[in-house]
Amino acid sequence: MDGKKAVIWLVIAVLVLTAFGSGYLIAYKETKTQAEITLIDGVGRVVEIYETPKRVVSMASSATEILYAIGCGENIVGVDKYSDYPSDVKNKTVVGSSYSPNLEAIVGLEPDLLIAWWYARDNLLPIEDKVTVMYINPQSVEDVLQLIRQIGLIMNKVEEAEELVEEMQSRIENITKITEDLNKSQRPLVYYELSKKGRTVGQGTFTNELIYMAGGINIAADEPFRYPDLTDEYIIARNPDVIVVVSYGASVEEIKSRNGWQNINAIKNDRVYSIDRHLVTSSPRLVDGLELLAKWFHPELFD
Amino acid sequence: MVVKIKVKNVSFSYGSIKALENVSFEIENEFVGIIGPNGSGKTTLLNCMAGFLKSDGCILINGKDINKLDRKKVAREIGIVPQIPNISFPLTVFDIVLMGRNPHKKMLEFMNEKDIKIANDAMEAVGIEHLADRTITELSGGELQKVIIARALAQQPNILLLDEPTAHLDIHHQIEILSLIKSLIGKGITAIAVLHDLNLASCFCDKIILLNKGKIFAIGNVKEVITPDNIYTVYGIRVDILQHPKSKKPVIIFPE
Amino acid sequence: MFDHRKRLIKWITIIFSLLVLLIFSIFMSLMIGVMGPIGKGVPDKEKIGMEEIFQILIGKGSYPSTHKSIILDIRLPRILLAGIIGAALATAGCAMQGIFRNPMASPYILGISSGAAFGAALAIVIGLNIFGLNSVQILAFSFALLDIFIVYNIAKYKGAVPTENLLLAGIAVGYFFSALVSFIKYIAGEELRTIVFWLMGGLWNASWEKVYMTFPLAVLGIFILFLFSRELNIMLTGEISAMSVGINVEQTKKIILIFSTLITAISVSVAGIIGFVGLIIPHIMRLLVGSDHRILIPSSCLMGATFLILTDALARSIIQPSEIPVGIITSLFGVPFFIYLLRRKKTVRWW
Repeated sequence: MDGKKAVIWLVIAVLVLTAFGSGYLIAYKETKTQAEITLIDGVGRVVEIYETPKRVVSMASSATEILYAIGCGENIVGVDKYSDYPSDVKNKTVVGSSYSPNLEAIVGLEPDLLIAWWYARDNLLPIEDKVTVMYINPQSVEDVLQLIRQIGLIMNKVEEAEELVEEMQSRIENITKITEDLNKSQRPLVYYELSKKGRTVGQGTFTNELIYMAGGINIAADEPFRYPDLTDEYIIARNPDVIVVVSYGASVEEIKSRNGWQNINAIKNDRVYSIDRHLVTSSPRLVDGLELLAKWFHPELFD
Repeated sequence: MVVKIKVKNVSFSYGSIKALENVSFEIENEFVGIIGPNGSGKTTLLNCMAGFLKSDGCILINGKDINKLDRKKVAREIGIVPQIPNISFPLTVFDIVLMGRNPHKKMLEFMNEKDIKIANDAMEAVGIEHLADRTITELSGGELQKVIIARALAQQPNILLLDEPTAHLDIHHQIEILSLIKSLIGKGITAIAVLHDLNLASCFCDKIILLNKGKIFAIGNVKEVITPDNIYTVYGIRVDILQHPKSKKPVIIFPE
Repeated sequence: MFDHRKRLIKWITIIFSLLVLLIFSIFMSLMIGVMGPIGKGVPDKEKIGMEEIFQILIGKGSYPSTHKSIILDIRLPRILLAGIIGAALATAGCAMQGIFRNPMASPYILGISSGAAFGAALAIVIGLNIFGLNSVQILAFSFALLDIFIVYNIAKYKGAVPTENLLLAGIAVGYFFSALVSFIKYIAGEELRTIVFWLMGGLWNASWEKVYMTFPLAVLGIFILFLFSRELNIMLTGEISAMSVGINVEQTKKIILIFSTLITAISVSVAGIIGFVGLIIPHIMRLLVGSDHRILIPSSCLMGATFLILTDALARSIIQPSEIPVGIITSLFGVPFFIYLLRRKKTVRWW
């Protein structure tokens, strides 16, 4: 039937036009003059900084903490709702979260720089051409140190950043120089619990690295998923010597009273601890977290 | 215009179950009743003639095989009155009747004054013009049946196929509907109806087709088909047949 | 005699009022936002005044470039996208309810949403960008179409596609994709929240690119569904009855299914799964203007657009500067209104 054919051609035409239209929009980008600083961010984009940013919106709690730590707290004009340290953050304008940012508020703040987690990119795409955006994606302790140097460079606080990095490095070394010689039998088995019973960290995660640096062995270190769910049986069978639960998860009492867990070494020996969630992420305070973990794992070595 | 319908060696089966076997007959300009027990293939035969079911054999209308026509062309020849569909949408009677003009319209073509006039005439012909702006959900069974017949008439067909047009109606409406159909024969329309009530069939039809197990058991005028022997063989009940005092048509009475 | 002229005038009045309502809601919505006249504002920066918004719209007068950006690059595309998606979902819902003759039918009834959700979740966990294009949208769109393709072919029997088969196949395939989404959520790490937010549906990442991508297909689809309103009306009387008046039922079903699917898929791929609009707006309009698709489709389309524009404005203004996913608002505010209409109607039959 002719009508039918016409309709099919119309659909094809529209689809092709749509594809061309969006392709053209993506291909079209302005070129600017030579930038002062050029860097590759956490999603592989080229970020060009022309002058030291005076107004920064930080949509990543780690970046917020780094900015404060190198003395750029007053440059922050907006933060995401998960940034809550240091306490001065509560005076800043909140611009939503990485999952649902308020683009209008961000643009309205007229920032010179927007720092965001890599996974916020899909939501921030519409303003990438209006605001200088830098995505971060630190995945190891070394990445965090690198990020501090990078932010220091951008904010023209190279010395402060280097100082912070050195202080962190020396505190980290104080711990690793003792723990790196420990053999497997000297390392306690650690079960690290997240939001709910059984959910833990596997290989390739930041926390997994911290546990090892602090002289422990994560019982889920060999699990293929980054955030596996372990069964009761698995945890009881692995019999961890230490249990650490993150602050937004279960309480220490609740874990101690769990059915069938009474014979786990950690519970028999009263070695169940709760840790502030911010001490085990990619912020400068990870050193505090590392020191706490080391103390819990090896009370005889650190005190 | 004389309409000739020729059904030749029509067979149809649902999977392995044969519903119609080698059915052949010819009719023109008359009111034909199809009767037979449940499962004898009455509705299947009607659906084959409507082209809903693709049968083996051929069904010719003035020489054209309806299995080879597209639905619109079929709908210009044949108006179909299916068993009262369960319409739960409050569309107006007028809109339902106007749907009968669809086969005369190209895809996306609008209805014009002529179509509206034909729809109004069709409503008048079945005596429902006063219901035009009522919604279909408010109608009684008899009224709804007339609406569907009016819609079929708006198609301006040469043939009407009716599937149990008197089902669920009271005796007053049954007679009214069948008289209406009979009056259309005079206007050049050929009507074929599946009927359950043998006395009504006897009273109104010019020709009767008695189906049994997918085959034509008897075909002919009322007196030839409705006989105690035929009824006994096909339906398995013994009946007595009297003669109507005026029309001389057979009237079935049931034994005590 | 049926007075079809009187009815035509009534219909034109309805469409005109809905158009006025739509334009009004677009202007209302342009005023709403953190930086808007009734917004909370941000420290040190001036809010955008009402006059300024008009100046920006007509391109005269002086205003900061930031303000222009906010109105023309952030708010306007978002409002237009909300409008297009609302219109597309409501129209698709209308058409689906029509061909299925089922009040429970919605644009998502054949599992499009689950298919799209799987595509999006997959794209989110394997990384956001391939070929420089947004893979979340592309995969969501492709899997939505794949879902329908599978459903259609499962339901097909001897060249016909009975609607009952379609419904059951849709449920089955939908559950299958839902299970896959659950599996991805299970193995996802930091991406889990991104998936959850996508599933709730929202327009916070609206952009002109998305408007350009959605607009042509959505307008074409809506227009074609509207052209099929006579066929949809006839289909309401049942498939046998539709065949009686010369409708090629299978072909009509196929065309309506294809275009409903296309406009639903494009909507879902840019805005996630926004519930309620496609199910309830057609019902609301059926209660207000009747079941005739010639008026039902255009009025549902306009009402869907208005509804999503207004609810999205609410979504971004209730807890400023944070946002509530618009899917939550659509149900929270739409359901009571719908129940009110049902109760007011006081008929036994709601459908």
